[in-house]
Amino acid sequence: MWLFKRIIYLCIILAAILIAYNRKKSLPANLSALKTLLVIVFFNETLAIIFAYTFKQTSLLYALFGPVQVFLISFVYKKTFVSRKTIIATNLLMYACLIVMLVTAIINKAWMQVNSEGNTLKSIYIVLLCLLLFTDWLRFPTTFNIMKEPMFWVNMGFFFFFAINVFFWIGYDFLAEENSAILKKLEPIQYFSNLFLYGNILYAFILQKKEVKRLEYETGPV
Amino acid sequence: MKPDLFKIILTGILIIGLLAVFIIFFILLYRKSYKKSIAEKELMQVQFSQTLLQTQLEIQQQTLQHVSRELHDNLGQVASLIKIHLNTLRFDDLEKASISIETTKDLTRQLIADIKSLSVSLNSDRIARVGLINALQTETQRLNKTNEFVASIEVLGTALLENDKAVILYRMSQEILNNMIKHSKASHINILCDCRENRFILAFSDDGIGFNVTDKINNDGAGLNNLLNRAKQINAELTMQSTVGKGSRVTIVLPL
Repeated sequence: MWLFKRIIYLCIILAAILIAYNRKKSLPANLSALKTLLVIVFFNETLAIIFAYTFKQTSLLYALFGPVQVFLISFVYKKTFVSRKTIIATNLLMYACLIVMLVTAIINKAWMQVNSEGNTLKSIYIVLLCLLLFTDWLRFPTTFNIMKEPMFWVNMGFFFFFAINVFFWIGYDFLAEENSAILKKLEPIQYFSNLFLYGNILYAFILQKKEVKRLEYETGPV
Repeated sequence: MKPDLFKIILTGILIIGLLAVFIIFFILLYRKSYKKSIAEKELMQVQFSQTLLQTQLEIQQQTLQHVSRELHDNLGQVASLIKIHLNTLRFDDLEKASISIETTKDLTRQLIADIKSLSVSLNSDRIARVGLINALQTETQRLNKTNEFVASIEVLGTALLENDKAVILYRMSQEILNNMIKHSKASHINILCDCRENRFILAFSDDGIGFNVTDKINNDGAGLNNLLNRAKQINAELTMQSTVGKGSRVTIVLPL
């Protein structure tokens, strides 16, 4: 059952990657970076299945994947933000987040066990990016139907996924100590939030048009 | 204390519900913000059209004054001279008559050339057709033909300008050049058109007597204030630098 669930999850990611490659000529820089992130996620998750069967633990893979994820998601947002101040703030927050993640990874020996503090921080950071983008859109609205904007769905996916993950990782250590059986029962929440995130990304790539519209200006020669 | 699964699930549902409410609230707020932004843009567009219309009217008024001056001071004078030459033509002395006819012919040629030049400088459509740079090059040639100035133009890079803005820039250039011709007592006039780095720079410099910029703007500088207003209307920045005895420089920077 675990493997079957993982395969469904990988199929959604693979579908998103294929659609992204199909539209690669029209992808803006933010969605291009997202495509790269998806490819890395796909390989990471495939390796995680192999690691789970052979080494019985996947902590090392996720410890390595965390900083890459933070870097690429930050890049996606930096390329989406309109406000220059927000872009500078994102740069500073990204480096701060990466440094704290590295410190917690060393303290918690993240290559051997789950780094819940690092994951909590990463989730809070990405939720903050999502909120900054929502604010940016409210300050500089560009289209009436925001629901036709690919980045809206990507942002919503990240927002739901990481907001749920903030609460999951905050309670992780306590639950693991007090009642590890509940953690097993909570796994579907994480699984479905994952499906929601990659489903949203898949839909965002479907929304992205194949052709880039040419801008025409009413101008005369100088 | 054992964590209760039911409470955890309830909390989870509550969190997801709150996130969903947040998204719905965001969409509603976004649409409101978009409508407000569109209304502001439309208002700005209307204001821009109004100021553009006002500028066009001012330009028309100035153009009519320019035509009136040209007709009175130049074309009228030449036509009067032609009339005098024709009136004083005496056919009893064929040699003198021949000289007078030749002079009249020259004056007529000059009159035709001046009428053409006036017509060319008045035609706004010409700017749209030939472009601002070509129009300024013609102005430079016109200045050189007077033999009173050595005028030159330097063009760096290329850019596309909206027709309205090109016409206003051309009229501003004409006013700046006319001021230099009338007041600067310069021998060299230089025009620089720099269309690089997402901005269009138009700079005019002379080696004339110069003037005190602040005094001129504060006192009788209606023409200079007019230039500043016109620059503002096309979102350009106009700066004037001048030192008494060392010449002047007027720079217009238009973001592209």
